[in-house]
Amino acid sequence: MQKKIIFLLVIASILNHNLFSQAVPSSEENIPYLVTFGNNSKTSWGDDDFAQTFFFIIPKDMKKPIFLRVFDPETGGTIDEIKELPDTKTTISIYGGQGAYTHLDAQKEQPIGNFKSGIELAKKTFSNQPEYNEQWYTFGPFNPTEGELVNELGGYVIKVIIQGISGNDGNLYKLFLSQEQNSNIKVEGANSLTYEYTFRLNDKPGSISHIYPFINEDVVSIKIHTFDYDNDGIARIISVDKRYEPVQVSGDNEWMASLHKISDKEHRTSLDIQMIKTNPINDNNIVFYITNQYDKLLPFYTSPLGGAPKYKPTIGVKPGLKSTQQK
Amino acid sequence: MIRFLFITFFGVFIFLFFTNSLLNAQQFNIKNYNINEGIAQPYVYTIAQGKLGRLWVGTGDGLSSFDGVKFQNYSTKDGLAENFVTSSFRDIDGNIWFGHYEGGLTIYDNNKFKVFSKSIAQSPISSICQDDYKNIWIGTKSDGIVKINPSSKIDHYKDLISNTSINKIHAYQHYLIVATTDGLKILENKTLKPTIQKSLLDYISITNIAPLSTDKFLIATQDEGIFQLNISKDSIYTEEIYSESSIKGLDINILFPDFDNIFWIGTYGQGISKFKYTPDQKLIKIAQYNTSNGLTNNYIKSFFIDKDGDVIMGTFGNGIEVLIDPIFTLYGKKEGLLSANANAVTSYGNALFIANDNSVVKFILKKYKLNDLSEKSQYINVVGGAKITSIISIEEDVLFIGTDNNGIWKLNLANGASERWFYSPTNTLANKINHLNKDKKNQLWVATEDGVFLFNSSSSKPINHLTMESGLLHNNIFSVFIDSRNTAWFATHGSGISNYNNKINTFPSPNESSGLEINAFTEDRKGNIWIGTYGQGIYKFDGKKVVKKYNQSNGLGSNYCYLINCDKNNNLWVGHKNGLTKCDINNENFVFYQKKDDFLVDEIINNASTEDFDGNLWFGSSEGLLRYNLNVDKPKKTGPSVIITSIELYFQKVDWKKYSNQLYTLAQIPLNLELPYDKNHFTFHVRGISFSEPDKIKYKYKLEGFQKDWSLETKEDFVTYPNIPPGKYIFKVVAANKEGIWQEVPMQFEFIILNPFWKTWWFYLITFLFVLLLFVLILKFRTRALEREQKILQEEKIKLLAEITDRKRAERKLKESEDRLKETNKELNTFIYRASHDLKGPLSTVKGLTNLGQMEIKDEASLKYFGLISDRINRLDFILKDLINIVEITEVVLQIEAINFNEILAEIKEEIHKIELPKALRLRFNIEYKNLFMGDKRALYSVLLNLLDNAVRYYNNDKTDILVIVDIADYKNGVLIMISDNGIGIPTEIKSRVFDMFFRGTDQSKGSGLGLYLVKKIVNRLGGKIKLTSLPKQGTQIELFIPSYNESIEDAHEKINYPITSME
Repeated sequence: MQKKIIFLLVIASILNHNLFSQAVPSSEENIPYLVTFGNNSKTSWGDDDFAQTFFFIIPKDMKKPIFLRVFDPETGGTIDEIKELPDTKTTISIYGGQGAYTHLDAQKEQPIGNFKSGIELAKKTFSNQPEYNEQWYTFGPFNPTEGELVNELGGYVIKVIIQGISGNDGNLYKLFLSQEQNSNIKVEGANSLTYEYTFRLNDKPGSISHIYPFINEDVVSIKIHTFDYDNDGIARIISVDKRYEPVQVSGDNEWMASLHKISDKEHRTSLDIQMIKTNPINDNNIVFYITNQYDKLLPFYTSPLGGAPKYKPTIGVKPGLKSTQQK
Repeated sequence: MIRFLFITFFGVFIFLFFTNSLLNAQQFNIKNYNINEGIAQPYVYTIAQGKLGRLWVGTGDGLSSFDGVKFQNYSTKDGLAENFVTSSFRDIDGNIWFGHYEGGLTIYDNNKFKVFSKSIAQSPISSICQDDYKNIWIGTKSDGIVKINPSSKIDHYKDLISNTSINKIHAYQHYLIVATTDGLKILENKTLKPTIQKSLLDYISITNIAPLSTDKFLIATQDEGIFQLNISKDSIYTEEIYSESSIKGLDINILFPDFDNIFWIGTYGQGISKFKYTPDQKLIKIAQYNTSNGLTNNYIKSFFIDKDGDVIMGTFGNGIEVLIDPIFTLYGKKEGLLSANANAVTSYGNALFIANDNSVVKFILKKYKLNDLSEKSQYINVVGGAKITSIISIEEDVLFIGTDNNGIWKLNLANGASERWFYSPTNTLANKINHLNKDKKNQLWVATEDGVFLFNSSSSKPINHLTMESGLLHNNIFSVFIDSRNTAWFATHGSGISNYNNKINTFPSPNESSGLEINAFTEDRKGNIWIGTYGQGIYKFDGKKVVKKYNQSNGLGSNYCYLINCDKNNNLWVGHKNGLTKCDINNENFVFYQKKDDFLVDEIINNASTEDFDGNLWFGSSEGLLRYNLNVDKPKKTGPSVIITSIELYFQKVDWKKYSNQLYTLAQIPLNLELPYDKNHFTFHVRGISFSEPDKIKYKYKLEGFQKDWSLETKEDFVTYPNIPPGKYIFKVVAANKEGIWQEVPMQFEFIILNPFWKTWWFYLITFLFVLLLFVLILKFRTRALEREQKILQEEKIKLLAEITDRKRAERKLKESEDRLKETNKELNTFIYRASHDLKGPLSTVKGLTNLGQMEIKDEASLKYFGLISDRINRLDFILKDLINIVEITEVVLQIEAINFNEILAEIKEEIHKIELPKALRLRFNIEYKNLFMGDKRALYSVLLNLLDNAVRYYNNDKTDILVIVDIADYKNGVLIMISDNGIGIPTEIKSRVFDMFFRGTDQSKGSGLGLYLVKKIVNRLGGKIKLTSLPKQGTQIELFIPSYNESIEDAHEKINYPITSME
C-alpha cells in the first residue's frame, strides 16, 4: 500500500512537472505513423488485431474544451498502405466516463471483451475520402470532465480506439490532443499512453525510433513482446542502469518475447527501447507490448515519464590514481 | 433645351453585386454569461424553463438556475443525482426532469430536487419526453429506452434499440420517434411493450427532431441534411428537404422551431442559423450567427427559446448566450447609402429606394433574408442639384422624384438617366414638391405648395389641379395618402379633413377653436383612417367623423407626428422628431422608442416611410435608413413572470428555517409563515424574468390586508413594508415588459403576523377564566366572610337581644319610673296648683284683714309690723301666682289664637305702670311684625310681663335716661322679640342661673324667683328660644324667638341658629 502511494505520488509529480506533447507518435519517438489495418488484412502486414487504443490524460484543472485531431484518418491516400483497392473503413471512436480507462478490458493488448467501455463521446468511420488525405480531422470539442477521472493518472482520461472494420488496407495516421480546433496546440500537462503500440518504422536504414515504457516498483523483470519485426534492424534498451541491452525481436508474422531483468535503479523510470533500422525494408509495421513478471501490461508513454533515460555508469575512475598492484 | 434638361451626367451609378455576403449593419446583440457571471460550468448540455420562468442550465459540473440577472448553482449536495447534467424536460405538470451523465435521474417539483434514480440507465441520458398518457420516456446513449409510468413504475427496454446511441426521443400520439445514430425509429407504444413500427433513414445518424405541424416533423442528421417525417394513419415516411444553403455534409445538432415557420439550425462548430420553412417545403437561410458576427463560440450544444421569445444558446465552453435580435436595424454609408440623411424612401416589388439628399440608392431585397442588401445601385445627383423631398415608383425601372424647388424628375433605373419631368416656369409654388404618391390606377398624385396635381405617369401634363378654388381647404398640401378605396386624402394645416374621390369632400375639424394641423394619413387593416398631426397627436377617423384621439397623455411619444404608417399586425407607427411610437391600437398600448432608451435614431423625416414586400417597415431619418423587422418582433401576449428572490426582516437576511419547516428550495422562501407581532418589518426582493431586457422590467406591488390599491409602477425590484400590524396578509407583485404588457396573474406570498399574546384568544380565555376564578374565589371568600360575620352578628344579635331585653327591661323600668315620676310630677303639679289656688283664698283673706288692720290700727310699730306682714303676704301672693302660672303653663292646654302684640303690650304697659317707676324711665315699643302670629295670648303675656318687669325694676340709677325698648319683628315664620335695657346688668357669675327656679339675683329682690323660670318654661312650651346678653352696669338684652303655631316645634328649633340654652 505504501509503495502504491509512493508510486502515485511519483507519477503525479512527474506529470505535474513535465510538459508533454500529446502528439502520437511524439517527436521524441521518431516514429512516422501509427498504423491500423482493415480487419480483412493479413497479420503478416504488421497488425496483429486491427485495432489500436490510446489513452489521453487531461489535467484536472483544464477547463477549456479539448479536441482530438487525427491526421489522415482516411484510408486510400498517399501515405496509406493500399492493397489492391482502397476499400478499408476505419472507425475512430472516443470514450469517456466511468470505465473508459479503468475497465480491465480497456487495458488489454487485444480488443476483446468490453474494450469499448465507458461512454462513447464521438465516433466516425472513414473510408477512402480524399478530403482527409494528409489533412487533420478534428473531433470535439470535448469537455474534459467527460473523461474518466483517474486520480492515479492525475486527471481525466479519454480513450481513443482506432479500429479497421472492413477492408485490407493499412491506415496510417497520427493523433494530437489540442486546445484548438484548427491547429495543434498542446494541452499543458497532458500526456498519452498505450498498452500495445502498432506503428510504422522509418524506411531509412540507420534511423532510430524509440518507445518508452514506464517501470514502476513492482517490476522485477519485463518481457518485451514484438510482432512481425521482420528482423528489420536491432532493438536495444537504454535505461539508467542499462546501456544498449539488446532486445530479441521477432521475424515475419511471428511474436517474440525478450526477457530482461529490472534493477532497483530502474524503478520509477522510463526505459528507452531503441529500434535501429538496418535493412532497407519499406513499410515495415510492427507491434510492441511489454509485460512484467506477472504478465501485466506496462504502459508506453509517448513522452517518457521522467524524460528519456540516460545510462549512469556505476563504476567511477579517478584520474591520476595508480593501483598498487601495477607496481 | 430638352437635351439640357436631359441630364448629361449619368452620374456615377455603380452596380454592386455581392454574392451571399451578409452585411454588418448593427446585426444583433449577444449577452454572454460565463463562469465570471456565475454559471456552474461553461459546458452547457441542456436548457429548460421552469414554471416560474427561471432557466435551468445543465452543465458538466452542476445545474444552474438563471433568472435573467443572477445564477444559482446546485449539485448533489442539493439533491441532484449527479453533478453532470446531460438532458432536461419539463412535463405537463410543470416538474422538470434532469438526466445525468452516468444514468442518474433527478426530478425537480418547483420546490426541491429529488433523486428519482441514481442509475436508471448505465449510460448518459440523452433525451427525455412525455407522451399523451403521461408516461415519461428516457432515451439513453447506449442503454436503450426507459419508460416511467405515472405511478413511477420503471420499464427498461435495453434490447429494443441496441448497439446504437439515442440522440433524441419524441412522443407523438401513441408513437415514439427515436433519433439514433443508426437511423430513425418509430416505435408504437400502444401495447405494454413498445415495438418498432418503422425504421427509416437507416445507417444515417439522426441528431434531432422538431415538430413542424400536427403530423409532420423535421429531422436533422449528422451529414445528410434535413428530412421531413410525415406520420398519418395510413403511412409513415420521410422526404428530403431542400435547403438553398448547403447543410448537407454538416453535423446538424440543433433543430429548434420558432414562430412563423422559422427554424433554428445549428451545425456543430459553425454557429447557428435561422431558416424559414417555406410553403413549398424549402429551407431558406435568413440569418446566420457565428463568431464572425458576435457569437463567442461556434459550438452550440443546446438551444432554447423561452416563453417571451428570447433565444438562449448553450455553448460548449463559453456558457450561455442570449441572442437579442433587434427589431430595428439601421443602415448607413457602410451598407451603401450615400449619406446619413435618408430623406425619402419607397419600395416597388423587391426593390427599395432611398433618397440621400439629391441622390438615390436602390437595394434589391431578398425574401426572408433581412440583412442581405448585397445587391444595390447608386444614382448620384439626379435632380439637378435640388434636394429630394419624395420618391415613388409607379412602374418597373422608373422612379419619380419630387424636389424642394425643382419640380418632378423622372429617373430611368436601367440606365441611370434622369430628366426633369414636370416644372412650371411661372408657378414656383407648384415646383415645391412636398409629397408624391400613386393610386390604384397608377396615376401620380403630387402634393405641392400650390395644391395637388394629378398626372398620368405617361405624361407630364397634369390631368387635374386641385386648389382652394376647386374646394381644397388649403393650397399648401403636406402629403397625399391613397387608401384602399382609392380615395386620396390631403394633409394640410389649420383646417379640417379633406379627401378626393371624383370630387373633393371636406369634414369639419374636431377642434372647434382651431383647425387640424395634419401632416400625414394612413389606413389601418380595418379600414379606419388615421391622422397624424402637428402638435395635436393622432386621430382616428371613421369616414364621417373623428372617433378617437391619442396624444402624449396616452403614451404617444410626442404630439408632433411627422409620419404615420400601419404594419401587417395592425400596429400604427408614428414618427416624431425625437423617435418613433408603436401603437397597439387594439390594446391601446403605446411603446415609445427614443434615443435615451437605446433607440437607434432621433429624428424621423416627414412622410419618409414605406412597407416592403416582406411586411417590414422602412423609415427615413437624419441618421440613416431604419428598418423595423416585423418577423423578429414576436408578439408578446403575456407579461414576464415574477419570482420572489428573498424576503428580509428589518433589512436583514433571515434564516427562515427558524420560522417554518417548509421552504421553497431556491429562494428559501418559507411556506405557511407565521411571525410574532414584533417581526413585522418586511422587505420583498423580486425579479421579473426577462433574459433579453431584464433592466426594462417594471413592477407593481400590493400587500393585501395592509393596502387597498396597487402601488404605482416602478423599476425598483424591491419593496418595504414597515410596522405591519397583526393579521393575515397576501403580498402580490406583477411585472410588465418594455412593451407595457403586464402579467395577469400576480405572484403572491401569504403570511400571518400573530397577535401579541395579550391579544390572543387563549389569553382572553385565560384571562376570562382567571377573572371568573377570581370572582368565584372572591365570592366564596366573601360568602365565608359574610357567613362568619353573620355568625358574629348572630352572636351579637343574641347578645344584643339579650342587651335589648335587658335594656327594654331597663327601659320598661325607666318608663315605669318615668311614668311614676310623671305621675308624681303631675301629682306634685296638681298639689302645687291646688295648694297654691287653695292658699290664694285664705291669703287674700289675710291680706284683706291686714289691710283692714292697717286702716284701723294707729300704732306705728304695729303699722310697721302690718306693713311687713303685707309685704310678705304680697310676696307670697306673687309666689302662689307664679306657681299657679308655672303649673298652668306646663299642664294646661294652650289656647291658640291670633295675637295682637299691640294689645298685649298695651296691657303690659298698664300693669307696669302700677309699679313705682322712676320718672326717667322711657319705655318704647317697636312693633314691626306684619304677619299673622298664632299663639297662646296668656303665655305670651306672662313672658313679656315678666321680662319687662325685670327690665324696669333693675334700672341703673347712674343713668340719666332709663331705657327699656321692646322690639318685635318677623323672623322665620315666627316672632323675634328683643327687650333691651340699660339697667344694672347681671353679674357674670350668676348669669347662668337666672333662669333657675326660686333664683333671685339679690336678697333685696321683691320677686318670687320664679319669673325668669316661668319665662323659660313658657318659651320651651311654645317651642321657642331665648337668649340673654348682659354686661354689668351696661344693661341687659333678652332675645327670644317664638314660632307661630303653624310650624311644629322641632321645625322651629332647626331654623334657629342658636341653641336653646345659649347665653352670653
